[in-house]
Amino acid sequence: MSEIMSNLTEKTMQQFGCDDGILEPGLFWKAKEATPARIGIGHAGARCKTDSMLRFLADHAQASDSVFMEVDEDIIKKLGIFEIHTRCRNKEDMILRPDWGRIIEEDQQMLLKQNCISNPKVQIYFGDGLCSPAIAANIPDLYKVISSGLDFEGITVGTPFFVRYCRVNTARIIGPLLGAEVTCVLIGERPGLTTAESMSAYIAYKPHPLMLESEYTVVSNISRFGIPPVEAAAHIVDLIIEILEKKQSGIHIDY
Amino acid sequence: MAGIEETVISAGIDVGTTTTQVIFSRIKMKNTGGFGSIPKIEIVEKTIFYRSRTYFTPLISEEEIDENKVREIVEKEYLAAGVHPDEVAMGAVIITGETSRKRNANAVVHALAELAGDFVVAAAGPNMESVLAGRGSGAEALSKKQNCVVANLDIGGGTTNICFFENGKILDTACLNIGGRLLKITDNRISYVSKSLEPLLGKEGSIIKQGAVIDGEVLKQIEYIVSRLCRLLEQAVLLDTREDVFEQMVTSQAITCNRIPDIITFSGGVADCIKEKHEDRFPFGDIGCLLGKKICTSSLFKEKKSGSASETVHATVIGAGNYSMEVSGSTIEYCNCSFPFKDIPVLSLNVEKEQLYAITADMKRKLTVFYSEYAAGSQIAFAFKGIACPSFEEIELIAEGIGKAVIEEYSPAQVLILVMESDMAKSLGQALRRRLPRENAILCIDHIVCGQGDYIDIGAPAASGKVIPVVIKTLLFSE
Amino acid sequence: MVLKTRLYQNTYEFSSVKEVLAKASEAKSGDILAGIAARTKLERIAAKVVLSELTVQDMYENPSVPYEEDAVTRLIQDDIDKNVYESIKGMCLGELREWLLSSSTTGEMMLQTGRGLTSEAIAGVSKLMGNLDLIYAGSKMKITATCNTTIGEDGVLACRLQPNHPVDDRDGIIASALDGLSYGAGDAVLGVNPAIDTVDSTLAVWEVLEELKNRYRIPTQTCVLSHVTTQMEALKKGGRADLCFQSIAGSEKALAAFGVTLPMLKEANEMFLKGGTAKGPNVMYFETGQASELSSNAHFHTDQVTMECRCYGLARHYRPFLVNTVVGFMGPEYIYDAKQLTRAALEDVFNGHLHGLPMGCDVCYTNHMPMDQNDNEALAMLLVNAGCHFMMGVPQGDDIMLMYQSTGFHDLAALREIAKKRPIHEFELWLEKWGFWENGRLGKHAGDFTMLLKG
Repeated sequence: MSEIMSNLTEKTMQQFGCDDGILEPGLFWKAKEATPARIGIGHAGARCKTDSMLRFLADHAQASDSVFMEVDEDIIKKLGIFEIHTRCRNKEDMILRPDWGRIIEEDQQMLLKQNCISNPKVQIYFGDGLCSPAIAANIPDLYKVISSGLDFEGITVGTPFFVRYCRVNTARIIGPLLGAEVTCVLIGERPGLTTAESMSAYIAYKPHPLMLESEYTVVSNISRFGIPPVEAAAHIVDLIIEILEKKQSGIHIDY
Repeated sequence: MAGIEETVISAGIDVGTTTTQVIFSRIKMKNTGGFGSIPKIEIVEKTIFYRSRTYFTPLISEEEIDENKVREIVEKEYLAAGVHPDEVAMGAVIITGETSRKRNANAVVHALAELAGDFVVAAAGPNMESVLAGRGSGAEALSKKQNCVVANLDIGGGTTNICFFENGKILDTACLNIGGRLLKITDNRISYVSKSLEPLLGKEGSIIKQGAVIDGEVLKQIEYIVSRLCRLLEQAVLLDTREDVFEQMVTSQAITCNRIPDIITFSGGVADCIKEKHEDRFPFGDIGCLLGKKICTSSLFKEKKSGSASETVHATVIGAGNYSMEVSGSTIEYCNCSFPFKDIPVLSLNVEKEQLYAITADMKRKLTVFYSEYAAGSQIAFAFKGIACPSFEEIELIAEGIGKAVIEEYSPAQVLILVMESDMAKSLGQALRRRLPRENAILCIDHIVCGQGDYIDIGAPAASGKVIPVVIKTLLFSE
Repeated sequence: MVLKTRLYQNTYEFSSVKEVLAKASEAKSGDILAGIAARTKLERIAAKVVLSELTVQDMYENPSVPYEEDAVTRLIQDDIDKNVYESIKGMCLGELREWLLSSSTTGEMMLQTGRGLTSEAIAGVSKLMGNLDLIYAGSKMKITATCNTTIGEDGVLACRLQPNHPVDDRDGIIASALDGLSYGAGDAVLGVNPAIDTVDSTLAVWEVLEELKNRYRIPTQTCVLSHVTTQMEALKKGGRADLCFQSIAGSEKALAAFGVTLPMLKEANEMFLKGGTAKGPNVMYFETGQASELSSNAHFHTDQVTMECRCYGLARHYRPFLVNTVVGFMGPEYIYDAKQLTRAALEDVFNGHLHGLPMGCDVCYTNHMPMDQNDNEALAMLLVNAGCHFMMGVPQGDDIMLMYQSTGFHDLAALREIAKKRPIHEFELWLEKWGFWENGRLGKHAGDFTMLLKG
């Protein structure tokens, strides 16, 4: 029983298909190349074939798990950072109460103040958001490239930390609290079936509770399946420099 | 620039064996990244808005191009199109076929490139011609559309450029000394016999020679030669076994990919003679028409889905104008560079996951070999595939390796040009900037495939500085 | 008007019709988030009891947003058929429920009565109906509308083919569209949600869809779901499509958050009637979804079912060809799980129908809802029985652009076969010609889209 089956999730959707009985397999695979959509998967009666059904279930299970699982404390330890949490007590709160996901209670605010340097030029922190695996998958490369890049430009970067049950709008509280000029949240994105570890960066110049959503500069789709973390990070370095120069973030930044 | 577009003008100039042509197109670049995405600049549309008439290529002699007359043509066409060279952001001048073997070909093409615009590059070489003609003819697109192997034969005056495409990708190229003007006829006499025909004429005393009157016997012989040329074309695209003389007709290289084409398309001047009916045998004073007719009854036509390409006589010039250039990825890094860079030789660099410590040695070794051929301080570009989704540590190691070699071997005036395939240029560029003196010039671009032996032209950044247009001058095919 | 009742030992008093409506609503996370839901189950029932005694007139006279302040309210009230209203205004909602369920009440009678009901009245009565009530009464109503083909005929379950692509790639859209067609999807509309909302991309995708429709002579309609102003601009630039799309909401303020005004919708409707490719007369395609008003803080303390109903009151003014409730897209903070989603979908389809609209439902969920495809399939099966006019066809239910799951091509084929439903007639004939469909089920070439590609 030591044999192992081939990995059902190994193929991309472009390679995953069923050309049994297809008149023109050449045209079939070529059409599949054009889209990651689940086309050309054959059928059993009017239902899906077993392998395509199982592949769908696997992809959905992964996406769903990535929303509802916790970021392991070991991961936070390994990153060498500390953590705080929002008003949410668990993932269910997080899902049901987006408003709580931006509230940092008094005791947690104290923790931040005690552990972080004040008034850095740029404050970067990490949030689980709607995708916990995004932290372990992207932060190591993403953060190191951003901080080395900003260091090189002589821009002080604040003490990084992790916010559990975090929504983007924690930036409205954390930015002013730590006195950063620019605040950058690196946060897990709501997963799709093919990308269960993507992350976004939300960057704001002097965020505050009444700021507009459009005042965030956003970089999304950061993952090994999308924009490689190191490249996204290098891009974020440029963005932050530009935001600092223009003293403005959001749709006004022409990037 | 989410969703924003930029349109630039591209010029294509083809100085061929027989004809010279100019086209202008608008190339539309667009950020297809969308809101919140990292910019992704792509070429989304190419529209030809001006085609010159077809000029006979002005020659001073059989060995020399009339540079002044060619300049006049180009200047006149720019004026007629209402395009100022300053407006032309990109494009290519290509000198093709027998013309490229004229004594002053290189000088002419470079002079024209200077005249035509800041980043109009000089292109030459049979491989490049074949590819550009294949793209310009529409064969590449057809192969993609039909998902099959398409062979395009661009039959000009002196040469036939062949390019095989499979599903939109280049499979192989070839160039043969076969064309419509290998024999010229004036006033019922043979007025010119190309040297290229010699292998077919027999060792001594063929009746096909300059000055020969076209009588029945000579005509029979001409038709025989045309049918031989046609058979050689069949052999060239693997429809028949190659005879001994085939090798002697090859200009640079023959097709070796061993794939039988599903569809054959024809472009170049002779393509128009395939279907058009002419009363006269020699309507253009050459054998182009006879060759066209012969092709029409050959296996090139009978057994395959064949036909004229969507562009025939303009295929190469359209290729030069529309298909020579590509754009880099949109996360790139450059500093202290003055653009453009032209004709930069490319050395390939080993950047393998397991051997990142060996980069410095590899780079220094390649530089030593390079300096044995080129003057110290000559500009060079290093190319590598790179690593898909590299880690921070990998980027640091690569930067460390390259940075060390640069500090030890580069002269201060040299720009560090790195061209890679994987999406990693920006992070690598930044890592290099952290290691090299601030005044050093660095250019780091990705999404570009090139390798040892290629030459690269690099234009000024476009689309608000986010992408860099490049032209790879000789292309690597066999993998 | 009595807003007070007793259940067991407790007295329940409500301060307004609006509060009664909100508290009588079946539990939804969005109403809880808004702080307007019943605090206990019993309080919810008390509200239903009070609601059952309110009359059609009470509902008319207490719109969720005042007539003077809101263009949507004005449109709904002004559109009411006054003769019908006068004849039923004294009916209380409990009676109305029984009348709707009565065996002697036909679908036509229901639709006639619907013309005299404001959106609040329709929302109200639906809150007195259990899930099976909604299915039982709702299945009687058939609403036909004609664009190029006619939707809503008896025995038909139509399908919007949704061949989205993350960057609107032409070949990618075509590939998904052809795959869908080969499973019988696409009779309601070939409709793409564009990744980028620009005039150029709208024009480009219109062209792709029109080309598909014309090349294969598919009896259907085309639509790109960009913003209505983008589509109008594209139409002015010479682009062509059949249907004009817009997402709508139930208050003027919520519409403004979508960048939409009523005159804009009127202009769009007229432009598409004149300059679109459709035969008509129905050329509008609206999408809705509970809680879009709350998400833009334009709900006026009104529950999401009622606000959703007001979308239908708005929609019916423009005689749309399709109205689609994208029921599970807003996220779990508004509709939490399969139970809430099922309820919301049945409410929406019933309420839309009673407004006289050809309703479809995007039976869907996002990955942060505690739901899976089994829940989705069960709901789709219920909706077929509830008389839902059309559903989505997405490759295996996975929308790679919008990143959510809906119903797949296979699901529509199976639902049709199980429920003995068919595609729209002309489209069915077209499918049969290609061998994709035969004898009321998938045919021998089903799933082989290369049939359409070769030669």
